[in-house]
Order: sequence, then structure tokens, then C-alpha cells
Amino acid sequence: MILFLLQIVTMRYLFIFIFCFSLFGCKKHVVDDSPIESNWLLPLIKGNVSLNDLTQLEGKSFQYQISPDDIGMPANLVVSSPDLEIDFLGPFAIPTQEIIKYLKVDSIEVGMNIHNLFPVNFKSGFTVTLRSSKDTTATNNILFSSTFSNALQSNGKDSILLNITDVTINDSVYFFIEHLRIDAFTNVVFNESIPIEFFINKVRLNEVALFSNQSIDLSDTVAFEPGDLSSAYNSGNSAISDSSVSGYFNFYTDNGMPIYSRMQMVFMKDAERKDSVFENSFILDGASVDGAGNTTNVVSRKNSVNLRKSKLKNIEKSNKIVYSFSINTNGYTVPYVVISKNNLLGLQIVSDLKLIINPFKF
Amino acid sequence: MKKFSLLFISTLVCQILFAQINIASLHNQNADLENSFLNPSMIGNEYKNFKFSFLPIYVNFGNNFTSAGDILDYTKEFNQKGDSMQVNTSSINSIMNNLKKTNLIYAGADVTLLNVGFNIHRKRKVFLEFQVSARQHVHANISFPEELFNLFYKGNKYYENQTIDILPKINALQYADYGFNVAKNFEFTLNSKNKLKIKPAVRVRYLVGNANVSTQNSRLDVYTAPDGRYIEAKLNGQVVQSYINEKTFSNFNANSLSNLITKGAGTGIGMDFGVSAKLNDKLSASVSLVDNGSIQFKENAYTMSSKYAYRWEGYDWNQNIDSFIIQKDLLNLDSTAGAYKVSIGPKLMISGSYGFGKKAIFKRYLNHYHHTVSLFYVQGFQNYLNATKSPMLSVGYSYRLKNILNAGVNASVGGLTRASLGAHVHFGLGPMQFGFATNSLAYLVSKYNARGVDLQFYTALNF
Repeated sequence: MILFLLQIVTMRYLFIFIFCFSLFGCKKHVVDDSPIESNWLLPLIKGNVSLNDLTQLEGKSFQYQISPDDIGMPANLVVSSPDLEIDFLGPFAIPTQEIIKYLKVDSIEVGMNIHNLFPVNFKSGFTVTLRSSKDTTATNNILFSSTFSNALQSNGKDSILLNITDVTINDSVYFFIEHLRIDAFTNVVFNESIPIEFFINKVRLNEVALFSNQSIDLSDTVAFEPGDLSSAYNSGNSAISDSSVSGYFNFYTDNGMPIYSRMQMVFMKDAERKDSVFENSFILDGASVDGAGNTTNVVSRKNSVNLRKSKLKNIEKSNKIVYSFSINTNGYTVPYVVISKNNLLGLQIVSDLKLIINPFKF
Repeated sequence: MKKFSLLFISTLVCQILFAQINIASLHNQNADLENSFLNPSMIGNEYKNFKFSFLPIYVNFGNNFTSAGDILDYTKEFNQKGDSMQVNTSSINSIMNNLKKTNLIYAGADVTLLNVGFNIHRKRKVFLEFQVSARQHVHANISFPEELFNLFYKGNKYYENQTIDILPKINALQYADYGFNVAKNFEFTLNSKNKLKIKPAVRVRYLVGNANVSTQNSRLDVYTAPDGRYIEAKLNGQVVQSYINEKTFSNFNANSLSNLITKGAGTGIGMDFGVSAKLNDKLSASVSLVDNGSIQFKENAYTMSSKYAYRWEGYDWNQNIDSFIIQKDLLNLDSTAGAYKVSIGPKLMISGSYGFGKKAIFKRYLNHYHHTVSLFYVQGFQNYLNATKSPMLSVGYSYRLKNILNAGVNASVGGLTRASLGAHVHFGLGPMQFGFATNSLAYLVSKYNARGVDLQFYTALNF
């Protein structure tokens, strides 16, 4: 046993190797407490805007009135008359944008509501006619026409609903009530006007032509209470108050339409400009056109919203937002530009975020 | 359901036990019969006539990307903060800074049911050396591509305009092998003092596979377009699996036992090759190529595949919301029954040793030096089961006192655990022998270098 223990003690090489191998294992552990930083590219939303999305005609209605004077009767007086035949009432102008040269309509569903508040009856057979000019004698300016097949009694209501296809509407549109015949009446008083509502239910456009170097500008100011945005930004947890999100929302546009656009939202403290959504305005470049005004290319552009903490601080200090929106056809040398239903405006929003995480608890 | 349960249990077992190379034991010359599974020419070295190794077992678990120190730091932080969990960036950064291209978690066990070595003598010299063995193996690994971690750690902008495969791969194999090994010494006289001894050996193994699952050929490619305009994911999944018929266990009898031992769920042939050379009693070298072979699984063998591609460009306001819901048949796998073949993970090993100090004359055939320095180089050909493409180099020292004591230490770099310290000890009491070996001592020096734990234990009768 003693000999065996002596052998163990004399295993000097074993101990030398153990020492050397221990040195091998003594690699210093480096503590790296630096924040974790990750960068994410994430597409959020996308889609295409077409001609029919842009025109916003659906659901629109226009109000008109026929006064007693329009049929040659004085108001608020007792009057009598034999049968009357009125060739036309109107023109009732349908408002259009000055920028529009024409609309080529694939299909349109329009209608008219009429409430006869006159103390007389209208005979059946009067018509509603939509014309592209005020000339009631011409026939080539009639866009469409519809006849009321029933008589319209005093205080009676009636309506028509029309589906019209393949029609071109120019910058001037009028409708008339034509061939109105009224039964003879005695001792009646005209003390109210007749309300007429002209409405558009559905529109499918094939083409829109816009005059060059025209613009539509919209702007408004809205007061608001921003609240404590910084708190929400920091998730309300003091342990991760140093953690942050920064980066951009990038707006990518692929514009196949010959229209330019500019948009901006500015945050104000009374009259002082604090910040804005876009560093510069959101700008949409219009597509190029040929001599006939048809688009020849698709123009891509990137607009960015910088998500920085200072922006939230500035919004907190603001009390109103001024937004402005403009569409124009400036810069085109042809008389008008054409937007067909095949021309699309592609829009995609992609987030480019930097997430910095410091040690935190949850 | 049963078939998945069986595979799941097998996989779970594999995750608990790991079977990588037992590098510590290789430095123990008194366990050459046990070590001969990594080089068949090692048989016959430490016994004169006969050695019966009784139930040697080797278990291991580890990974190549996070250390015990990192894991303990996590646990410490969690305990300190009570109910709330503290996320410490240093632990995460440590893992990320130590990532490999392929990050592995591995587990397994090798259990030797029978290991008998015996030498045939002629004219008082060893003429032929034989070994008969029966072993059970459970190997499994899960590999995580570096890109998977980086994607969540650094974000997808890091991989802008690149396609990356982020799918973890799972391999699990449980099989038995019955081996017959033969080695023959050849002597060549170099000069009056030195003789070159060369011992080639070959082991033939009959492989019986019991269960297997593998997703090795599956991919999930993720592409982030420039500026993040779209993100595309393409799944090309392929899972192969096979397992023993449940009836083998539910109606267990002599016939089913015979099937279990000889057929399992699939069979195959394996070959191990090795050759050792001794220039003299001090210097020796060897090279081996082991675990060559494959198992063809036939029983309940299925290949399941799924292909799916999804492109995200953002919520499209022109589309119906239903179109954004991933179809429920995404994970419906096309299952095809049919035999398939799997490898058992071949490896190349090159070794050398040098003895010095006092020479011991022991039983005539078993001369050795008290001190030995040995070097092993192990190279796998793929990151599969207990093989890795990352080579391992191990240098060790052992002190040997006849067959009574063999103790040593070693240090290794590379391989799956990247760096390890190990030790072995062998005791012999007459013909009775037992020993331990482990590569898990790095933790004692630095917990941040410890990425695995293992243990080998054996008992033997040596005559």
C-alpha cells in the first residue's frame, strides 16, 4: 500500500499536465452588457388605388328646388289657370371639378327623388333629361333621358332609378325636367317649392381626362389633446425606460397615373410650428404621358416618416394639427392627361425599425 | 398517435443522453477493448488471452453554443428577482457571441451488452485477435442554424436581400449492432533494433434499427427583399420516420423477441476499419474509419413531405381578409410509405502516442512505459447524430502502473463542445477491472467553457 502511494506521489508528469490543462481552461469570461439592438424590415400594408377609388362619386347627392316662379306662378297668392304645358324646367347644373375635362363612364346608376309640394297635379309623361350643355333644342347633347310614367299628384312623391352605360360626361352637366304638363287649377296658393334630389349610387369609370396645370387643394386645421405619448412610448415600465424603438415608416409609391400629389400634416402650438409627420411633404410624382395624354411609365418614389422620440415630445407640446392635401397636373405640356381604369397607384408602407433592448424585467 | 408517441419518447430519451466521442477514455490504454469501437485495431492490446467487458456504458449531453455559466447566470437572475424575470443582456450576448454556423444540442448513450476480446496464439505469439460485441445505441441531435438566432437577435434587416434557412433539424436513431472484429499483426524488420509492427483490423457489424426520425433534408427558407418590400418563406419539409411494430411489444413472445433482435424496424451492414503501426515500444500511430454503413428501415417506414410558400407584402386592402389566413392544410404532410436508408454517422480518427519513463515488463506481451502522451484527431463528415464536421483534437497524458492503475488527464479543442478537459482512471484488482472517464472537467476551471457533461463507466474481466 505504501509503495502504491509512493507511486502516486511520483506521478509528477500527471500533475504537470493537470496544471497545464487548467491553464488551458482559464479563458477569461468577458461580460458583455451592451444593449441588444435589432433592426426589422416589416411590410405593413399595401394596395392599389384605381381610377374608381380616386373619383369618389359614389353616394353623392345634389339638392335642387323648383319654385312657383319657375312655372310662372306667383308665390303666396291665390291663382287659377287652364292646362299648362312647360317645355322645360332648368337647367339644374351638376357641379363638377374644373380640373375634369371629361369622364368616360362604363356604367352609372343615378336617380332622382321628387316631392310635389305644389297644390297642383303633374300629368304623366314628363321627363328628366341630362344634357352636356344648356341647349334644350339640341338632341346631340342628351346624355340620357327618362320619362315618369305616372302622374304626380299634389303632395305626392316619386323617384326614378336609371342604369346608364357607356356614356361620356364633359365638364358641364345639366339636367332638365321637360314636357311638364299640369292640369287646370283654380284658386290655389303656391307657397312652397318642390325639392328635387339627384343622386349617384354606383359609378364605374373607364377613363377620366384632366386638364393640365390644374390643381385641387384641401387643407384644414384640427385642435387636439395629444396626451402623454412618451409614457406610452416607453411602455410605462421604468425598468426598460432606456429601451427604445426608432426608425422609419417608409411609404413606397408606384404611380401609373398622370397626377402629382403632395400631403403634409403639421403639428402646431398655436402659431408656432412644432413638427410634422413627414420631414418634407409626402410627394407623389406623376407618370409621364404621350402626346395624347396617356401614361407611358410608372414612377416610383419613397417617402418616409421618421419615428424619433423628439417627434413625440413635439407632438405633446402641440395643440392643433394642420393638414394639407393637393392633387395637381402641373408641368404637363399636353392640354389634358388621361387616367384609364388600367392606370394604378400602388402604395405600400414598410416599417424600418430599430429596437434597442437594455436589461429589463417583466 | 402511438407511432408518434414512440418516436417522441425515443427522441426525449435521446435528448437526455448524449453519445459523442468519448475522448477521455481513448487516453486510457487499459480500456483499449472498450475504445476499439473507435478503432478496431485497438483490440488485443491490454490482455493476453481474453477480456470480457461487462456492460460498459457511456452517456453524454451537451451543446456547442451556450455554456453552463450562461445557463446558471440566467437561473441566478431569475431567482434573485422573485416573481419577476430579469433579462440580462450579458447572458444573451454571450450566447450570440459564441454562436457557430451550426448550433447543436446532442444527447445519447452507447450501452455495450456484450464485448469479448480474445487472442489466438500460435508458436507463443499472438496470431489473430478477435472481438465479438453487441451494443445498443441511442443518438439524437437538434441543430439550429446560426441564422435562426441572428434573425431574432439582430432582426431581418441583417439578412436583407439574402435567403436563409432557419429550420432546426432533428435526427434521432436508436439501433443495435452485432459486431465481429478481427485483427492480425504483421512484423517488418527495419533494422537490427527496430521492427515495424502493423496491425490492420476490420469489424463487420450487423445493424438492427429500432426507431428513427429525421428532418435532415428539410428547409425553411426566408427571404427579405431589399428595403423590406416583401418577406417570403418557403417550407420544403421532409420527415422520415420508422419504428418497430407495436405488436412486437403487446404480444411479446419468443418469436417477437427474435424479430426484435434480428430484424427490428430495419437492418443494415456496417464496417469499421482500422490500422495501427508501432515503430517501437515507445511510438505508435493509428488511423481508423468507423461507423461506415447504413440501416434500411422498412417497418412502419414513412416519408412525409410538405411544400408551402408564403409571401407577405403587408395587409392588402384590395383583398378579402380571409385571404390572409394561412390555409389550415399548411402542415398537412403528404405521407408515403416505403423503405428508406439512413447513415449511422461515419468518422475518421487519427492517433499517435509516445511512451517514456520507466519501461514495465508485464506478462511478456504487455510491455509498456509508465508515462504516455497521446494525441487523437477525430473528424466527422456531417453534423449528424454523434458526428460533427468540426474536427476534434485531443492531447492527453496517462500514468500507467501495470494493470493496477491507469490515470490521466486530457485537453481537447474542437468537436461539438469546442473545448473540454477530461480525466480517466482505471483500477485493476487481479482479473477484475473497472474504470471511469469523463470530459466534463472544464466546469471546474471555468463554467463558461463547460458545454456538456458525460461519463463512461466499465467493468471487465481480464485474463
